[in-house]
Amino acid sequence: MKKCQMLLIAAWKKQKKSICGIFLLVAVLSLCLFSSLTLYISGKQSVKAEMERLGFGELTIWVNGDRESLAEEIETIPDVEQVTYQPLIFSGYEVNGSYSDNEGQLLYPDGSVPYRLTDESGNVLPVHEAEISEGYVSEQSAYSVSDSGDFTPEIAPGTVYISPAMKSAFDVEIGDSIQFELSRKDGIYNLIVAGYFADGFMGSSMIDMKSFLISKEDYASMQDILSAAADVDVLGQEGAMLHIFQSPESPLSALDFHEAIQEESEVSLFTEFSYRQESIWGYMLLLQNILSGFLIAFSLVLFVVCMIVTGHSLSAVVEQDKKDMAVLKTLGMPGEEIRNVYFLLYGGVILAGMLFGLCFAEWIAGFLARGLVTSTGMLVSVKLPLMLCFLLFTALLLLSVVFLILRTGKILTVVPMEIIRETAGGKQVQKAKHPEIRQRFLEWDIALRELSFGKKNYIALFLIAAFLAVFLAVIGRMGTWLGPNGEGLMNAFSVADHDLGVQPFNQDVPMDEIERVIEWYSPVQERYELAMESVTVNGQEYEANVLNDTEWFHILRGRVCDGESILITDTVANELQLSIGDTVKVAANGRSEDYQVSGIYQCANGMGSNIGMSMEGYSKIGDITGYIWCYHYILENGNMRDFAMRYLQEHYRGIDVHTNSWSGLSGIVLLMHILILALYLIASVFILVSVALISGKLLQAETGDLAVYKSMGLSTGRLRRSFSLRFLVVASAGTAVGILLSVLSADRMIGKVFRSFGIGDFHAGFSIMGTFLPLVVIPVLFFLFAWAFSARLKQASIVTLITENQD
Amino acid sequence: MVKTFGETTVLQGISLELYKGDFTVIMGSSGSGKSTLLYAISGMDRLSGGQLFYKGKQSDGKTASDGMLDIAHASEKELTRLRAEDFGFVFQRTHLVSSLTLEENIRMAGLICGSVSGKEIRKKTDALIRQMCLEKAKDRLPAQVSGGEAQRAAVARAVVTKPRILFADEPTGALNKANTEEVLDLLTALYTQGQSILLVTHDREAALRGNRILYLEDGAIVGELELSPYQGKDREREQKLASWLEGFRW
Repeated sequence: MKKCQMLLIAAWKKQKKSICGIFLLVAVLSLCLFSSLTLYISGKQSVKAEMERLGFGELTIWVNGDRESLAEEIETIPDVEQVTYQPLIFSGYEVNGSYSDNEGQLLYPDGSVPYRLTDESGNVLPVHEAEISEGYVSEQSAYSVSDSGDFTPEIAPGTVYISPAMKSAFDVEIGDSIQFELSRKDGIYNLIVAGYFADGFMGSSMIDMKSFLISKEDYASMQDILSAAADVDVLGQEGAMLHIFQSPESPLSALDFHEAIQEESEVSLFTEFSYRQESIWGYMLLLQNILSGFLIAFSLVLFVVCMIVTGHSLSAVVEQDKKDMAVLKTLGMPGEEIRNVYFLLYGGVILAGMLFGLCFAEWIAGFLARGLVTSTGMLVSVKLPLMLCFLLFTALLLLSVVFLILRTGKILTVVPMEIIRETAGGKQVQKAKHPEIRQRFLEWDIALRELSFGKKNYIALFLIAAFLAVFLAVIGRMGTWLGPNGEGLMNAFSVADHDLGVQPFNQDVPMDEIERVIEWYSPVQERYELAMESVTVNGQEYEANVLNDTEWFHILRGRVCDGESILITDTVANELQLSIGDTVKVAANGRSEDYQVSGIYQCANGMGSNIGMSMEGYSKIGDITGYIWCYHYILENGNMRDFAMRYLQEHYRGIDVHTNSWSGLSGIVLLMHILILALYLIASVFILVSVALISGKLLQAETGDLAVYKSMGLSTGRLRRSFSLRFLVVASAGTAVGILLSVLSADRMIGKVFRSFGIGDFHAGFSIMGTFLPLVVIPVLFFLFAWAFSARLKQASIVTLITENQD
Repeated sequence: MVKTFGETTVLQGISLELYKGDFTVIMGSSGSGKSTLLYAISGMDRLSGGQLFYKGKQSDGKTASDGMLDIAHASEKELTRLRAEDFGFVFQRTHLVSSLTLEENIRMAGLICGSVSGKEIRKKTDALIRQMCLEKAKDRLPAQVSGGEAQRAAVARAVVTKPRILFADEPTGALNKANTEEVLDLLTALYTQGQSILLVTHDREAALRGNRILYLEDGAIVGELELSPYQGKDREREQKLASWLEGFRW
């Protein structure tokens, strides 16, 4: 035991730089893995808890009008345990000069639903004195606010609380005003932003519709405006959320439960839209799940890289210490005991690194959660998932143990005198054909010779470059697909491509004049019409995307629809077990018709819960003469769309103008870019440490040769260049292979992940960010770090280098 | 010339002149500082104090006014040029580049020097390979040849650039008798052709090849012996060296 301890201390002293490097790699990996896992699990739990706290059931249906009787009707259905009714007002709004693309829902806390007021970072807050003094919250309610947030304070009239996600979407600050458009005649209702609240459903920036908490007095005033307004002038409308809880004894699946409610009640007649609990989680945590999913996947790549670096380091150390091991064996020390020393040293550092990461994972996850508040709309309460972390920790540790056992196996086969003879007399090497060395390309040729001579020393470098390249290329392709302005998401979530959409709500809207305005900004290339209407397909509710020109649908498989057929998304196909050629019953407004499924199309709007119909097909079940049509325009100069939209919003009433974007998209694009940057930073740290460890071992092993080159008059600069060129060559080869693999498989891999979000078609193609950037950045980083770490050649004299190389 | 390692002074202020065309031998017991002196003179290592003038090619404005280069204070760039063009070095352990064949090791020195074309270097290399009897071993890696072959290649590598001075640090220290003879004969032949040589050794047989022998003791030169150029085995020459060495702690 004592001798092992002595050897362990000696090995630590000799290899402390390598050990520290491996510790750093494992710590970064562990931090990345456990923090992203914590964020993923905590996010799911937090949103679920918040939704439960706010009274969301298994199914929530948004209906128009005052439909309290519907709740009672649904409650009589045997599979329903309870239905709660939450009244609201739907209204469009303008904030800081920007019009919302979608309506907001205005709610007042009547005490039945405990909304949590928060600061802009999502922290649950008691009401501040300053807010009381400014009249944002009534003094009486401020005293009754508890830190736990289980009680919503009474909101002062004239004020509104918003989701923190609106900060990223509209750059709203406390004190800004929001104008709600309830009616065309004196129906603009102005409220001042007093603070934020945690919105369990519409908080996410992925959801364009937003909730607003207002006072009971303002709510009543708005109701009065709506009831007083003439039908032609009314813009807002009353409605309600029906939170439906499934009975614990109900054997129905979520889909069947939804179908049963549609069939056994009249709710479908008044439904605006509906979401299952799972869909809401999906929406709320879409970005967070993408972020944590990528970080988890990246962590697994990092684990492989860690093992490669550890394996290389261990092999080099065993090679260097072989003579010492042989001597120890001649003294009678068993091979197993020598192996234990290396096993304990490397196993210990892996364990320490993983524990370090685990200890700080919760803190990092908390930091990430705070950064994501503006996308999730609420602060995720972060808690380390102990059992899952423990299982993963154990699994990774076991893998590391197996890996170390395999890599240290060579120690057992050391035959003392063979090694001693080999070290004294020079190792026998195989003669091989090597490339010619030329005067003109001396540094380059020396580099190639060293690579060709010591191939196995560079396998680790090659693999690290390849693994990192695959991942960075994947994330780069994601970034390319997303585009500088989020075009990828826009196209995936929109029914059909367009630059500008204008929907008139009444006959007074001068569409000819509006089109002239648009033409003034940019000639219109294409024009078509879209309506989005609620329908049921085989009893299941979906949104029908109706186009007058069906060629605009993003067809993935099959053919476009016509009067007799419809298109479905992959999501619908999976949910209803449908395929091309099947016949379905589509119903709306009490009329139904059989259609054939002609193809699969791409539309992630509503997480893929959509069907595509032609105008002719929809006319069989719905009214196509109303103001349901939105005119979509493709402009010759797409950059003018925002200017045109702003002009139309400012000068025309009774229309909804929107682009292909939505208010939270810029935040999503920013988040994606931050993610790409973060992954590049982590990859850089890994390359730095890997190069430090590998170059250190190579320099140590080649000290003699390098000194000889120096003694022959090869300058340190040329030697360092030649040394770094090896890293450049190997990293370039590894990166090229990695990029090739990513080109072959990335789109399919990402496509599979995205399918769960309703995005069935992912194709990035060649791009600077996905292909060129990793291809350049990775080899250049390898080269630069190798150059930096070879600086010791500059400092050491030839005599020192040669002496170091002598036994 | 002064050289210290921490608290220990290895070279105690040595003053010495070396002449073109000489085969100078530095002798001394182990630890006397002879290798340290050789490394310092050849610019492989830096002195801790003193000056070391070399009358060679003009350097880039850093030479003394009389055209002498102070090696002790020369820039790394200047030293690199000296190693590539003016100096050749043979180490005790051959120190050939392990990934290059013997032929490539020899040619590499010429390629680094770069003063002549690649074709010319190849010609010179081939000539040296013949001269050193390395035809059979030339395409082998250092680890695949005998100690004698490797050391002959090391000597060839050191002279392929036609250096003004050839430095040799115990070049026969790790060789058997037959190989020792081979290497010494080579050095003698080079000396006869006009090559200036500075050899460090504690081997009398090797020392006998020189025409000027210096004795180093505790980092100071304590004796000097002039000999006629080596013509072959000479008993009188051997006795002269032996009696001279008796005066030191040999």
